[in-house]
Amino acid sequence: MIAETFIRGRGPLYGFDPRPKFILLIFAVMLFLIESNLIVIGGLLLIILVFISVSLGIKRVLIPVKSILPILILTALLTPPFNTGGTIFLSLGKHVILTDHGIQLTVRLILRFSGITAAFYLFFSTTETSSFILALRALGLPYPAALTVTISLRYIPDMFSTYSRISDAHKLRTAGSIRNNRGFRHRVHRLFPVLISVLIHAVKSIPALAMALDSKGFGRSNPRTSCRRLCGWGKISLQLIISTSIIAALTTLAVLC
Amino acid sequence: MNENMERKNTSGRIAAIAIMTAVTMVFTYVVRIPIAPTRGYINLGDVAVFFTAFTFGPFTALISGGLGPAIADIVAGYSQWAPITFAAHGLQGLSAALVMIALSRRKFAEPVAGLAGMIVMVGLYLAGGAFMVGFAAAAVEIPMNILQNAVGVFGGFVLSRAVKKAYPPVSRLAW
Repeated sequence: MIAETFIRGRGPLYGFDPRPKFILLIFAVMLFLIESNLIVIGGLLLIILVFISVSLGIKRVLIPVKSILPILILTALLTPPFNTGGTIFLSLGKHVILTDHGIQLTVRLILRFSGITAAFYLFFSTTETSSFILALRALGLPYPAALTVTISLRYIPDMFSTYSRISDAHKLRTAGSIRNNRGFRHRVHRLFPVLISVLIHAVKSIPALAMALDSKGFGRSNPRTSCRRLCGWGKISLQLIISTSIIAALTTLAVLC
Repeated sequence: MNENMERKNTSGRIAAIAIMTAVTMVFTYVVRIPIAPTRGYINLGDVAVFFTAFTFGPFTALISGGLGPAIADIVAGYSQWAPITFAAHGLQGLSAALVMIALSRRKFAEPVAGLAGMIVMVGLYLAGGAFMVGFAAAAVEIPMNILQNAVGVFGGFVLSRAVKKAYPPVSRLAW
């Protein structure tokens, strides 16, 4: 199991530095959350979907929306009856079901959630995890915090294989007795010994990892070497100008509409 | 000498947070118990969060409790929830551990600490969800979140006791 969401490709966003890309992501999310004009957030969603089709291929445009379809349906069904201001379109007895305010809010929430989902999907599909962490580091994340995230990502496949191995070993030990009992209680009862074994294995590896960090010189004041570095801010000036222009254009559009 | 001790403490803390983050991610993403009537499932991320809170203390619970489920969200394709998940589960672990410390050696410390964590997590998911998809759609998640938290408190408590009994040096890793 590899904790990676990056999809290899050759679209325009792949060459874009992760730092302005991350700033643009934050800005897009803020705009989706703050802006109430349907044309602005609809337009922004459309731009992101166009970028997904150009960068990742047309087949992937619907993937982010498909994953959130149940919650979009829930939003569409449950939001209008709880927002009954404005002109009434439909009512059952005393209960107002559908009004123009309700419809507007529903559309806004659907566009907002689809937009945020698509923006995150585009970012994590076109940015390698290591580049993302380097970008966070460049934007002010302290070194110990970045190191913690990196080590966690390194240990996820390890923990997954530990869980699989221990789980298989426990299954083999109880192979004769599990056939006729597959209820919820039995599943939980069978799971606990596996979880205890995994946790003891994990906890025991903490002192070894701490010792490894010490041996590698963690905490010393001399400068650290690094396999990969992001280029200086000066080299991505064009990308920064493009990003700033996009932010300025969208803010102006949002203010004018 | 002091500087050396401080460095050793920091590397031990980083190691504990990193390993428990990986454990929490695997418990959230991989370990799932299906519930027959609804065809849904309970993930055990909350079990790992409460285990960390009861065993390692507030700071490890805050970071690994938030980071593990957030990474699981990103890997599972629900990265839009990752910031809310980070805040909700991180503060869930922090509040459970702080209440646990405040009530140390009292009879019902774990259940009360679990309840505090549950209120924080369910409240933050409701607030975050209401902001993203509206209050009505976010409120639908409340019963499932409460069930998951109840399983988490019980599982975290049992696992914490079992691991402390089987491997007593784990108590030295709390801070």
